[in-house]
Amino acid sequence: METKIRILIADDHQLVIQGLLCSLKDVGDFDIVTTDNCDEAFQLIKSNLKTNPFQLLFTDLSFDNSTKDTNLDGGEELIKAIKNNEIDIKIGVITGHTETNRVFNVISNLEPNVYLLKSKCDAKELGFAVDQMLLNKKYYTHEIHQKIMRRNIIQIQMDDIAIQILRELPNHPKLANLEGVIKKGDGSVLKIRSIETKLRGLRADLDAVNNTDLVLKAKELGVID
Amino acid sequence: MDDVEDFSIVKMRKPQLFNYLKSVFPTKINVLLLLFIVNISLFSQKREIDKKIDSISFYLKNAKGADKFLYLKRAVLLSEELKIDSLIKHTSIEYAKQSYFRKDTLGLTFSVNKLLKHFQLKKDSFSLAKAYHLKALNLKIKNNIDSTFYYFHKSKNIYIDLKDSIEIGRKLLSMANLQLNEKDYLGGEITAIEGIKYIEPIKEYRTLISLYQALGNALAHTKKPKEARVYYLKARKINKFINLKYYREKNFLNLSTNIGMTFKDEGDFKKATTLFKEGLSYDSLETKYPAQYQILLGNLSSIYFEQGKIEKAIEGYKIVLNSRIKSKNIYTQSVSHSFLAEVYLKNKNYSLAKKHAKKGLVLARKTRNTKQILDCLILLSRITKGKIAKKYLREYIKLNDSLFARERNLKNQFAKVRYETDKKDKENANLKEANTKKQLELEREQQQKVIAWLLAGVSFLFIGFSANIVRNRRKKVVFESKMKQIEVREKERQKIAKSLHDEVAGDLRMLHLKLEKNNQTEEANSLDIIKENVRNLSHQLSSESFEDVFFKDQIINLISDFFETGFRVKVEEIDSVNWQEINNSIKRTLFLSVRESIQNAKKHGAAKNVVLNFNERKNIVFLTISDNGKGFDLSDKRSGIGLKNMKERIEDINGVFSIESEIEKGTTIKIEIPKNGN
Repeated sequence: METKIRILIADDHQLVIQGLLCSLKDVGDFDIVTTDNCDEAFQLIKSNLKTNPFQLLFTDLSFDNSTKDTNLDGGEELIKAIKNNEIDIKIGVITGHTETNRVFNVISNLEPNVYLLKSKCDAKELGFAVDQMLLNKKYYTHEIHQKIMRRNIIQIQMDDIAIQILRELPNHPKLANLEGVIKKGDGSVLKIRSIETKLRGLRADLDAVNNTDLVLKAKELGVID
Repeated sequence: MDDVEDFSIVKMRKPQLFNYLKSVFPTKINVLLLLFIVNISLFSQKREIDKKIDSISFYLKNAKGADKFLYLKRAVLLSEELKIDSLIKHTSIEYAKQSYFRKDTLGLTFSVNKLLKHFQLKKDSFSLAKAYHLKALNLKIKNNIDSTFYYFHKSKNIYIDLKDSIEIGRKLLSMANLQLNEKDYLGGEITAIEGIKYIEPIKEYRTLISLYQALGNALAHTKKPKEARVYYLKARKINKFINLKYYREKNFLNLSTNIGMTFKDEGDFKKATTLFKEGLSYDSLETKYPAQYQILLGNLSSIYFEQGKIEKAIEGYKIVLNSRIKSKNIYTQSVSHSFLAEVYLKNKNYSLAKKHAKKGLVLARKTRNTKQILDCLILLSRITKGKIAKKYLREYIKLNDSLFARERNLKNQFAKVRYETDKKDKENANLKEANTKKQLELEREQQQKVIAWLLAGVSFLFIGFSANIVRNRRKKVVFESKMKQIEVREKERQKIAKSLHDEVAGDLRMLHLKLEKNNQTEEANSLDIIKENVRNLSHQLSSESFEDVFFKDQIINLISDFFETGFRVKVEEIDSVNWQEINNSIKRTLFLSVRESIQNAKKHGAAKNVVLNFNERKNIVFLTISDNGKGFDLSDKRSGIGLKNMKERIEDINGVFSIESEIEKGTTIKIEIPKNGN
């Protein structure tokens, strides 16, 4: 017997759950369980872990129905609990929160596979998200992706060494020549190793495939003039 | 300077001195002549100092024989002209030496003054000691015995301070001889012993021999011949170390005489005679050492006299007298005369006895030799008869009494000098002690004062400190309560944000869905805008958790939210602040201020650039937010609830908020917040 993929959905708004169930029906045949609070969600995940574990979890971030007795107060807490217990389940966040702060905190600290926005989400995107989750890949909806990119740009702009590297990179055909050119705030010279590490980080931040692409992207995004 | 020789109790040097004196010009003429010559020489050599120094050394070197005195004085005056102190000192001492040999008191006084001046200038104790020494010599010439003793004593004491054992010993020797001359044998003994203590360890043989001799003389005079001989023998034993043959031989002869006399005093005439004869057998003794020869022969004759060999005694005395007449020594001539008188008296040759006694008396008076005068007087009283004898006797008694009184007086003086200095030393010690006591008391007082002041200061500081602590604590309490207040406010804000987001926005969403279902798109769209606004409001109100996220990240996130082409927020020096040690309330306040400011700049100021500058100095966090927007009129009362809130929030945590803005020139907001609420 073919086992269905088991999905748990946690959201405090019934309407949202309905919408999701509707959309997921179009995506495929899943075994779906829903809950309106995080404590129950975590309980369900744990209790089914040995017998019939969930493969995917979709959760909101803020839960309005929390009381004094609530243990896991919100999606972040739930995800943290899962991570702390090292439970193998792919997590997708479906929320209305678009503030960069929250987005950044969730993405950088909790590392969900998927970050979707309720307002922009449709069956097509949801299906793509499910596919990515099952492949253990990352997918952030366009708006979130944009936000993260912007944030990276801002961060790079604030990083004097990164800016130096990005400016100097086109002037030196060989990477090794950069050594001695890049200087820290205290005047000491940055070693080639550190420059390479920094470049790797920058490429990841700006989605660049190589250093040339990185410089082009940085110019395009306004990181450097 | 060689006073060892000069004050030696052995009287042989005296004739030499007399001879010397006779050969000298009258002092006055001498000085005048000198001044004249010196003047001329000064005139001609005025410009060439080197030449002068050369001349000084020339004078010093060639100061021999008859020209000695003259040359030395020139040297002194020249060196004075040159104002070279060490030279003045040196030449003065040399000059004084010669002055003493010539019994020139003026010259000595001159040198003493020079040395005293030098001492005052250079604080050179050596010159002071020397000056005292010269003064003593000067007084000795003037026959002022007690003062002489006093100045020797003073000089010696300075040498004690200078730790110059040789000079101490020499001065003590001079003092001992003075005492012996004045028949203070006990005092002389003590002084000599003291001198020996200084000289014995350093083996300065010439002085040591003289000291042993002095001690021996003192003992011999107090009828301790055996003990005296011990010291004479000691002296003779070390005499071999004397390098100069002349002194060595002379010392040997003198010591032989001395030792012989001790035997004579013991009645061992045989041994004494052997010794005297041995001395007299010395090769060409009479020409080489006439004084020693005279004494030896005189002493031998006295033994003959004691043994009753009158003729032999007379013969010997006569030879001695003739020899002394030959060497022009009046002092010893009178001694010889009195001896002859005594011998003739014994021989009952009264006329000759009387003749010699009278002659002796005249010579003794001439040389002021009181002991000899007395001897002659008593002899005369014995030789003559009746009234004349009585007259001599009376004279004798009178002189003897006065002499006795003088002796006693001098003895007392010597003792007094010593006692006084001892007393003075003691007094000084006492004074010193008292001074140190006083000093200690003063110090203690001062210490107590200092301690009191310190205590006052400490307590003052303590009061200040505690006041400060109290104030700080109060401040802290206020600060903490404010922080709490802020937190409560924040929670409230969060609650509102949450309900806005979840309830209002949720309801709106439902409404939106309903409207869409009913195809009321226009209404749905406007509702969408409202929903969006509510959501934004909710986001703004919602507090950011500052516990998990770094402040820098938060600022980056915030700026990201404002990200837009054509609007740029630049952050400077954010890493200069150690955000981890800064209170969350402060961070929140700063965060909200930044958000408010950027919002204002973007929305109201239409700015294109905003610069955030962070800094930390002396526990204060600084933030400057400047934009290039339109700016606004600060006097405009409508300048916004946002700014007012910002100011309140900052002042709540004891911060300082200031804003500068000019129309078309942008706005600058300056914020200072103390890190720990002070």
